[in-house]
Amino acid sequence: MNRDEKGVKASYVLLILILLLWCAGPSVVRRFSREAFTEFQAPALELVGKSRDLARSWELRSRSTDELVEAGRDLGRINAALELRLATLRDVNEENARLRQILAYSPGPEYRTIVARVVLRENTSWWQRITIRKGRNDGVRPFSPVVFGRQVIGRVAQVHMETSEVDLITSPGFRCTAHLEGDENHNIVLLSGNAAGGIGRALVSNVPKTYGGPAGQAPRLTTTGIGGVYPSGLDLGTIEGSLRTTPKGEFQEGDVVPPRALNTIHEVSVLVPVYPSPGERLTESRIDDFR
Amino acid sequence: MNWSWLLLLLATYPWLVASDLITDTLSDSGLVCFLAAAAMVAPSRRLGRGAAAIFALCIGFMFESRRPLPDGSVAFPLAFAAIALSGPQTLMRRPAQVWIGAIILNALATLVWVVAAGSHAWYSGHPLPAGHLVWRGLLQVTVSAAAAALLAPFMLRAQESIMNRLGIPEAREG
Repeated sequence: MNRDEKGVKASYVLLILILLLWCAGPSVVRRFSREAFTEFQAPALELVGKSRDLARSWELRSRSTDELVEAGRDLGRINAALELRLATLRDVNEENARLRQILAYSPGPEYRTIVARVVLRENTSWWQRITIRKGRNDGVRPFSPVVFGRQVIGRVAQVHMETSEVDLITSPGFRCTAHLEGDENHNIVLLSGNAAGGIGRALVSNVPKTYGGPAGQAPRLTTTGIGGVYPSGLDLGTIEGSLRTTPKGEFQEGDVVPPRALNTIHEVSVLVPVYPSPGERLTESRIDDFR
Repeated sequence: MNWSWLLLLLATYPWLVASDLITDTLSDSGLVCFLAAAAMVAPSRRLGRGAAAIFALCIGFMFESRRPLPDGSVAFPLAFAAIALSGPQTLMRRPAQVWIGAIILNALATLVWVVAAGSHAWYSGHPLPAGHLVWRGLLQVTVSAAAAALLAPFMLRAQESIMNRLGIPEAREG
C-alpha cells in the first residue's frame, strides 16, 4: 500500500469519526452550524433582493408623467374611500371593546404587522418555501402567520437574523383548521399542504359527507382562529373541482387552490402576535423549568 | 493546508446564488436547479484531501441550511466524494472527463438529497405517495444532471482559472 492509499484510508476513517461525533453530539452544534451557514448566505440574499427592488424602481422611473398622474389620481380616490371605511371600523372597534368589557370577555389575539419583500421562491414536492427579507432583528418570530391582505400565504418556518423562511400553505408540512363557505353547521375541516396533488395545490380533508357547498360557485375556505396562530376569517383559498369521498367513506376531501398565485408574490405581511402564543408560553415555562 | 479553499469557496458562491435564482424562476415547475455537487469536482482534484473535504462540507452545509433536510445529509456524502476525487487522477484527466464527472456527481448528490428529503417528510408525519416520490425524484435527478451539463463547463473553467491564480498545483495523474 503506497502513501496515497494510506492517506485516503486515514481521511475516510477521520471523516467517519467526525460524522459519528456530529450525529452523537449535542443538537446545539448542528443548530449552530445551520445558523452560521445561513447567515453566511444572508448578505447575498440581501443583495439579490435589493437589486430586484432597484430594477423595479428603474422600471417605474421609465413610466411617463401622464401615467404617474393617473396613478396618483386613482390612489387619491381609493384613499378617500378608505378614510370613510376607517372611520366606520373605528366606531365598530369601539363598540366591540365596550361590549367585551360589559361581558368580561377575554380579548382576541392582537398582531403586529411586519411587511417583508420576497427574495427567493423554491417549490419542490418535498418543500415549498419563500425566503423573505425580514428576520429576528425585525421582530419576526417562528410560526407567525404570513398573509397578503386577507389571504393566507403560509407560516414562518425558520427565523434568522436578517431573513426568514416561510412554509407556503401548499407545502407538505403545513396544517391549518378551516371553515367552509355555506356550511351552516360550522364544521371544522383540515387544510394541509398537498404536493402530491400538484405544485401549488393544498388539500382539504375531514369535510362532512352532508356538505354540498354554495350553489354555482367554488366553496371558499376561511381560518377558524382556533389554536391562536391565525386570526379568524382569513382567506385560505377555494375548492377546485368536486369533493371526493375518502377511501374509508366517512368524509370527503378535495384540492384547494390558494387565494393568490404564490409563485408571483413580491411582498407579504408577517403577523407577529403582540402577546406570546400558548405554545411560546409553554416553551418559555419549559425553559424556566430547566433553569 | 492554507486558506485557498476559502477563497475558492467565496469565488464559487456566486454560481450557487445563480442556481438559486434559476430555481426561483423555475418555481412554477417545482424543480430545483442544483449545482452544489458539480461545484466541488474541480477543486477536489487540485486541493489537498483535507482542504477538499472542508470545501465539500461547506458547499453541502450551505445547501442544507435553508432547506428542510436532515443535518449533514448532503454535506457528508459530498465530503466522502471529495476525498475519493482528491489525489492522483486516473479517471478525470481531461476537461471533458471532469465535465462528465461533474454531471454524474451532481445527479448522484441529487439522489441523496431527494431520498433525505423524502425520509425527513416521512418522519415529520407527512409522507408523500411512493409513486409520486419516485417520479418527481427521477425528474429532479434529470434536471440536476442537465443543469450540471449546461452550467458546469463555465463554472469549472472559472474555478480552474481562480486556482491557477491562487497558485494551487495542477492535479497529479495516477
